[in-house]
Amino acid sequence: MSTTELEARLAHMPSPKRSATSALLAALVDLLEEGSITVDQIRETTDRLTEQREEVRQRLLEVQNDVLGLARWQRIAAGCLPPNQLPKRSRERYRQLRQQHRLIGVRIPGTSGFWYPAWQFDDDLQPLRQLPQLADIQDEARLSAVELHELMTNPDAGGGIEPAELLRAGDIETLRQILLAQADQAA
Amino acid sequence: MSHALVERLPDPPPSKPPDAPDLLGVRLDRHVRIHAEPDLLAKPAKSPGQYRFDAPSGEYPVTYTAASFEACVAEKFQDRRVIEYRHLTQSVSLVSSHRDLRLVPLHDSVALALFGLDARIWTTVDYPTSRQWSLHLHTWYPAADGIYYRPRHAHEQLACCLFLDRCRAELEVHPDGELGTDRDRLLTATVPRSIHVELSPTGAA
Repeated sequence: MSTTELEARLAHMPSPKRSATSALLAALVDLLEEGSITVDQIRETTDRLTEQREEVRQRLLEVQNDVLGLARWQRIAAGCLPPNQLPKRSRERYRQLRQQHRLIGVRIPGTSGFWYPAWQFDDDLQPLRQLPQLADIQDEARLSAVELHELMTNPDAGGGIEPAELLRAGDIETLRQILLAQADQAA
Repeated sequence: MSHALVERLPDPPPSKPPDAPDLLGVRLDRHVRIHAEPDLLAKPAKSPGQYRFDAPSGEYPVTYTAASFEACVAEKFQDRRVIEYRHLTQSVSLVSSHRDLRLVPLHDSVALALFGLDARIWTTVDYPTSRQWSLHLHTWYPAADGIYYRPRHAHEQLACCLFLDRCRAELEVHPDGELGTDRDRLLTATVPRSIHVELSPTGAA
């Protein structure tokens, strides 16, 4: 970078950063003139700082991803019926209903048993009779139960309405079109 | 398809509008596709069609590309808000063309207006109608290699639906690893969009 370019870059910095950068540059020039430091040493230091900044950026992305994961599982749990509101049935009966595709259960890390998304129950807390058809679509679209739950409760996936509304309205064909299209990058 | 809740697109007219736009020449340069199938150019047409611009009854095979990795990730995973661990082995491919492809310019608002359409063609979930548009465009433009449009979630970018019956021989595909190979590339695409990536297996059902 030429001196002119350096000056132009400095001129565009916010005032506090400009002052600090100018002071740092002046100190570096003094050290170079004294022979206490070489240009190669300065380059090594700046390369190391750049690497460290990159590591911090990557670590920050991973932490943000972890936070997204925690928020996601909280959102999923909040969309399920609280265990104490579930209709009283034996554990074996719930297992049968899942196996018969008449109920969809999700597992949430750190908890035991299955959680049941609220959208699959009617006002009397009975599983919707359309659920076996939905389970067939889930298989065809190769969606996990958790992915299905996310899609059913996301209005963006349904062009402005939650796909769960289509299920409740019995519009299975539209729901099928929407869920199948999710398998590729052209949904 | 019942349309009680989902907004419908206008149907294509019976014949090509007289002032329909010309095809646009576009040289594909490292367009991106994320895919589970091994060979994206050899895949047969889906019958019936499954995605936005698929042929309605498998009349011709298509594949989809986007201008960036970020756009592909958004289109594929934005709605489900997660990339599950099992998907991290999906392939990433870069698609280039040997010549300018001739594309129907559905990315352009003026061109859309000439067809009586608007941006909903990119965003609608009325897929049967968007597929009818694809079939009509394929018929009206015998020289068209595909459709140029804007992806539903990353609409500041550009995407292609390629008619493989017409341009397969003009395409070159290079592998670019798996979805999870470059963790930094993946998280840079997902974190700003609040898409969670499962970097290790979980107990999720």
